[in-house]
Amino acid sequence: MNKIRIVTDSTADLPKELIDKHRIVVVPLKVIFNDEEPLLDGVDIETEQFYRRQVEKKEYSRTSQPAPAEFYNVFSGITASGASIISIHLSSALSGTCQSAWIAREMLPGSDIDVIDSKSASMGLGLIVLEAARAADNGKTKKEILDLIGKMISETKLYFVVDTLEYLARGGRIGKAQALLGTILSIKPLLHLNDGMVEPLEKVRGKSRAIERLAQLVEEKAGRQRVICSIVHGVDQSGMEQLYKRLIPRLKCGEPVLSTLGAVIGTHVGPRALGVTWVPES
Amino acid sequence: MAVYSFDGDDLKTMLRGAVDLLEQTKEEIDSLNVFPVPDGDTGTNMYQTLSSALKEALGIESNHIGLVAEACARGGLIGARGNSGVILSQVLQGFALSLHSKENASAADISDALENGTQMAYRAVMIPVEGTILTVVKKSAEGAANRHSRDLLRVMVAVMKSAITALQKTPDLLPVLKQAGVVDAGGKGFVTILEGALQALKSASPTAKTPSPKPTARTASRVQGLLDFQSSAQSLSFNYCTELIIKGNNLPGDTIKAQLFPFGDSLMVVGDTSTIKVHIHSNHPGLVLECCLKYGSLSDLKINNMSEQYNEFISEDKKNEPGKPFAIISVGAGEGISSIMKNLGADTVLAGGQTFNPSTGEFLEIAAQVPSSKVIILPNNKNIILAAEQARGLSPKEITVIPARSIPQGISALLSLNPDNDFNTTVHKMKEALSAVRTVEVTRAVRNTTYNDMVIKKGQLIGLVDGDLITAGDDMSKVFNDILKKIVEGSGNLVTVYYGENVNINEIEVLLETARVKYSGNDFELQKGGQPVYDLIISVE
Repeated sequence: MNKIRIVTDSTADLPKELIDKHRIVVVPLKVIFNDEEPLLDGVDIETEQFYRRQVEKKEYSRTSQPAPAEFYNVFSGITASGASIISIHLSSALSGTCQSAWIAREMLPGSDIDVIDSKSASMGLGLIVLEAARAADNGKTKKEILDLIGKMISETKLYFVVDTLEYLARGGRIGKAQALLGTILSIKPLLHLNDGMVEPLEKVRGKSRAIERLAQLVEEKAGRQRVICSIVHGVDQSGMEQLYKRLIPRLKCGEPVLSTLGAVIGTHVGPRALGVTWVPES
Repeated sequence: MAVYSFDGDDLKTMLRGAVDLLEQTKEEIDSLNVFPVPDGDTGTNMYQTLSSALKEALGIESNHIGLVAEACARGGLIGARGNSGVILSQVLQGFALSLHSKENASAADISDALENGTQMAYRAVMIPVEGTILTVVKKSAEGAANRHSRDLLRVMVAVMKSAITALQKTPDLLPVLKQAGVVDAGGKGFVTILEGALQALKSASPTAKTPSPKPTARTASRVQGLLDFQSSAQSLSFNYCTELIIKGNNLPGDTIKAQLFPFGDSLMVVGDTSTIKVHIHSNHPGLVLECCLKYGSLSDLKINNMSEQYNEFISEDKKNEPGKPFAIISVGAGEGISSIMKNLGADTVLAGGQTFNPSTGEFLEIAAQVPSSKVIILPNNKNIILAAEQARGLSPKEITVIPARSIPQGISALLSLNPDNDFNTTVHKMKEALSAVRTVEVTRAVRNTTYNDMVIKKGQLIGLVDGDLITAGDDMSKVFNDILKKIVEGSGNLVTVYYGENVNINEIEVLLETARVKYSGNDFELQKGGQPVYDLIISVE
């Protein structure tokens, strides 16, 4: 039977142990500080180091998608062993990563590679990748896995709160005009990903009120269905714990995947962002 | 000496007397407040409203009481400030509608006009409350109706007496007035207007007038009052461009010019003794024609509605403008408050608040300027809501008034803005947001009083929670702590303190530090409001 390998990119923000456990292949995006050499996300720079530079040293960073050649190297290595590839990536509305992967696929005619736009980011992408890898481990057929992925893409929700809209605006991931709103009164904007794009939900004043509102909104949306869920933060341990305490007892879900944001997502959402992603159990 | 009819000049005289007396009395009226808060601006508002009415009335050169009353109503409507000002403007409006076609008014006409004014005033408020200016106006009208005299001076005296009696009874109808030991301020303002009018009539020592009024020009086109007001809002005070040619013998050009002059502006009367071309912008093209008809036969008549032309012109212009789906006008005072509102998405922050309520005219002017045909107004003060509502009825734009009664409510409404939402959703969310916040105001008492067993001295700090006076004292820390005790329940509240101008910020910071410890689990934030009158405005969410 043909083996299936799941490939993703570093913006899935999956914890290391899960990546290792399911032998998920992660292609890193890049983070660039000032005029320095690009750093490979999660390879050259870890979450802790990144936030130290962003928060303590107040350094701004840029990001860059993997080059097609980087995907080519990864893909050709896997296909050489005769395996098929399902490569799932960051929303194409936010990054050209999918495009690079697609070009690499075109460079390998005759190989069995599917490149998929998750229309999500961070652990929203992470949960899809994780479930796909589990299905592959369980010997599901490629069609079964692709169907599962397709269903999850349409059902995955990602709600998050940022300390400031400054970083999203800086990276051009949200309209400039919206960034002007609420730079005072300790407003914490609640946002979500809709069809792969960042859109505002509400403005809430005060972090703990924002966390409570986030929990409320997720509870309302998720309803009483069984879900799998993940909480990510970058880095705000106490905020994460507050959100965990307020949200998890209100949901019908197992133990959520807890993770931290990598340098690439961190570049775009700024310090102390906190997010919840969930998808109905299949 | 009896007076059997009033003409336009009499009305002007009465208005002038009323405005003069209001000017002298306005501070006294301002202080007649239920709570001793320095927000008493009823007298000032009524004075400004009536001054605007007088100004328009004086601009009419005619002696026609219908025309003068109409101008007066237009001025009142545009200049209306505060609740009592808006109600007063509606009384004037009723007056004008009633006297519309009259050149002179008899006692019966004045009685009808008062009755009509009463009806308009009651209609203007959503929930009429007895024991206010409304009752005083109503009783005045009844006083006129019951006098059954043809002598206007006698009728006016009767009206005045009824008004004073009604005013004195206002505390019996409204317990809050009784508790505060005052009569209703708006009612007092109305009595003052009647008193001023009567004094002016007496001192003008009118000569007796004939009881038979001249026949009025029935052909006068019934220009809808509202049309006039709208055009005024767009600085077009005369609506109809009227042009015609008079043909006849020995046409007296100068006389015709003098006679037409009161009917409008941009007047041109040119030609010779046999043919004269007339051009005038007027609200009464019918009267213009009637007047010219006395001198000869008319030809080449042209009457254009300029307000329609103007609107067409404007809308042509607007097509090229990007425009926003809607614009927001928010009322606030203080640079801190104003910049917060702008930061949250208000397109314009109109300076206003307690003691300086924006007029309907100001709302109309700003609404005309904002780059959208849909406008949301946040009055942010209970005394400004009516003026904003009045602007809604008069503006050619689609205006929605969100009934925000305080600065914190206005800010809460602005916070609910989401650029992805359409107009209706935005309005809905804003209205919802009003109840998400409680408002505290700390200011200083303007007079000694007793309220709910609290003895309050002039100059003392007083604290109001959602408009209700709950504490008073000399010491900011006592007042502040009484308020927190009343309003901070449980945990998870966000308390934002906007400090006003002339406030010792160090003292407030210390109070907040103490509160953070005492009410742990709640957030406390200090913001510069810079507002006058209120030492502190506090929101609790």
